[in-house]
Amino acid sequence: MPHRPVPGHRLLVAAAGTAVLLLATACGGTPPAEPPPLLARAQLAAGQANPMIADGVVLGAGAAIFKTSGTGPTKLNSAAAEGTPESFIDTGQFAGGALPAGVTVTEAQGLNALDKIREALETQGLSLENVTTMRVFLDNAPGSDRADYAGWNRAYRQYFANTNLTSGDTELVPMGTAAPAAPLLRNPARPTRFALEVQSLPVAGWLVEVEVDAVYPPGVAPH
Amino acid sequence: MKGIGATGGAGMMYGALSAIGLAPAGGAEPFRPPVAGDLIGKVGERHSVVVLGGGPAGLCAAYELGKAGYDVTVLEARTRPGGRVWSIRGGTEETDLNGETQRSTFSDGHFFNMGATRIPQSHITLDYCRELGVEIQPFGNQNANTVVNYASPTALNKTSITYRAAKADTFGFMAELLQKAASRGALDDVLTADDKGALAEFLRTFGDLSTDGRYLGSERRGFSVEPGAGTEYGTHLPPAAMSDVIRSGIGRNFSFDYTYDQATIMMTPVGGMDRIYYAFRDRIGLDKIRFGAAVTAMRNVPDGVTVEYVQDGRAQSITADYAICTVPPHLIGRLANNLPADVLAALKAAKPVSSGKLGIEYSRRWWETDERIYGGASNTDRDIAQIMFPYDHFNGDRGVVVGYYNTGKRHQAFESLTHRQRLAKAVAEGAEIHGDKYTKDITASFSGSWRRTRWSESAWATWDSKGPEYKLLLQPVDRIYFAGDHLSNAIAWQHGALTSARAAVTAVHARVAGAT
Repeated sequence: MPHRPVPGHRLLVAAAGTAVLLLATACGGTPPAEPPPLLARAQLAAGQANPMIADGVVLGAGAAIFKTSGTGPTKLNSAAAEGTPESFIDTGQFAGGALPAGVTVTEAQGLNALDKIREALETQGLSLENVTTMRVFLDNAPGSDRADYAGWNRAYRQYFANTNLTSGDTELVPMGTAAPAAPLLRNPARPTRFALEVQSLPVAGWLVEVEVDAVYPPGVAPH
Repeated sequence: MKGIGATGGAGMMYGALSAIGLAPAGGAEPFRPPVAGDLIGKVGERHSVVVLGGGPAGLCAAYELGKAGYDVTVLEARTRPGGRVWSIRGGTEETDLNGETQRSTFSDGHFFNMGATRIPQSHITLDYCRELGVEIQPFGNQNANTVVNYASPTALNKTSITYRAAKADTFGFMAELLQKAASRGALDDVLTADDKGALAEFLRTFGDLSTDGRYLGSERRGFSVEPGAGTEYGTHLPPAAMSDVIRSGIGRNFSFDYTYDQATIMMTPVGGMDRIYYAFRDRIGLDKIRFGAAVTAMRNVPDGVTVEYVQDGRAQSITADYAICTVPPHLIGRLANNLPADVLAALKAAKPVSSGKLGIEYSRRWWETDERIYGGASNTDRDIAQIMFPYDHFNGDRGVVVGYYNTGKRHQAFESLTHRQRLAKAVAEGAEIHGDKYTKDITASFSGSWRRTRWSESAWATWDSKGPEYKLLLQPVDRIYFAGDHLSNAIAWQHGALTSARAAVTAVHARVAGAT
């Protein structure tokens, strides 16, 4: 029995087409007489069934916003040496810290960091669906001279932007080089986002640091 | 198993109750329900308990406390009792956390259990069925006529083999090999001549071996033409090759029903597992249960616990002497609370688990008419993991098959999909096992994923019941007691929730009745 009468996340299954509500506004029952005040609306490129990110996001004047700190992966793989990128592989996701074919360390760290952000939002009564903006900092993995944007994006699609705006179906997402399969979390949200490579991150071994803004949906108040 | 009937006729002795009062669940003492006489002469006239959650633990706690006249209030966010015990019938409607609303159109009288579906003979769940007058029936947890079919690359892969044939061949060849080893003297360092004689005798019947100790097939495998009248002697099905049987691992699931909790015979309530919790509801009384009450806060206050909740869109609050909190552990931290940091950290140690089911109603009981399957489950290494056949309406005109019941990664292969995607994947995998008929005559379907089900967000918890976090939560925080299957050694079983509820009731009652 979690705490809030969160109005249904009535999102893109019903909202086929191009107009995309980033946040739930309907209460799931009878439609309100007055349209509820705008809290947040993503501006998506026209004609795309599966855009990765928003072009922009409109925030209403009354929107309460939760901003996380920069969040990197948690050290969960005690088998790997301290301070190595591999020590931040989630062994709950990848048993023994062994990465399946094509799964990169950046991808694994991205999954770990996003899961941590999910948890942080949940303690606020929020979910990854409520994310409007994301900032991503990537370091290149040892032995490579460029950040692993592809690996990061695979991790991102496991948790974000994996619904088809036309059919309402969940988009299948590959883990590494495996055949695309059901993502870890269905999430229609397409936040605005930047992802850039940095010289270094503050924790030894981190390849990924993420920070998000999320807007409280109707019925969920900051506490 | 010491049941609730073991109370005995003696009046409640408070010394004895106090002695077991705060002991953790599962002690050797039989559970003794509180009775009103225990409270005579105690401080205060009313003793109130607010129970958070109307699942097995919450309703059991309220019911048992009610026996002693406690002023009990159950707050349940859902509009039905039972929590993760949930039977899906025609008309069942649910909006999941993926944002999708399903409405079941199963035919009258047909259903499947989204959560708990079977009860081991040893569990006190059956004692409550007896006490509450809930009719029970056998549940086919194992069936020689269901099949195994594994997709992994082996000689016998992608072939449906009945359990009876797989067992005949696996046990037959295992018996032959052991007999060979013993007769060739390979085990002489551990077996005497008498041992070897007794072993040979056992292996001959266990494996259906020939007089010279070989497995040459067995009528245990079944027939391609059934024996019948006159000269219809039946046509045997020949065995698979020994090496193929061994390397294909067709016996990989045999041990399922050897486990303590899954051994036959299992039982289940007639008409759906949730019957138990409707019966609890009726005994407790609707006046004591607030459905649709979503708890938002739980705080210890001087001399009590205050719980805030929203019901019918209105914020309300209740203060009771004690609270029993059966909310899933990983959701408690989301409540506004004044729990200490170590308790909040301990609650996070209980990790949520993905699991769920999909029910498919067919307008033809092809599993009975075409495959002679009456209950039980087929097993596979595909994502669906298993196909469970109905245990009711035998020889009827329709029925609900459970198209998958899986956990962990195999369930995650469905969890984030829409229902129609789940159904398509489940039917495609099922058709590889039971053929094209699996895709036909489908009249309704419904699916659920506990990780994406409001108020639960997990099928059950996984953690170490010998760890410090678990042990910490066995203790109350001031006047808040925790209960649920996660605080038992029967996680994911109703028995776990019910025994945990009894432990909380015993602890609260000992504290109240022991006070002077």
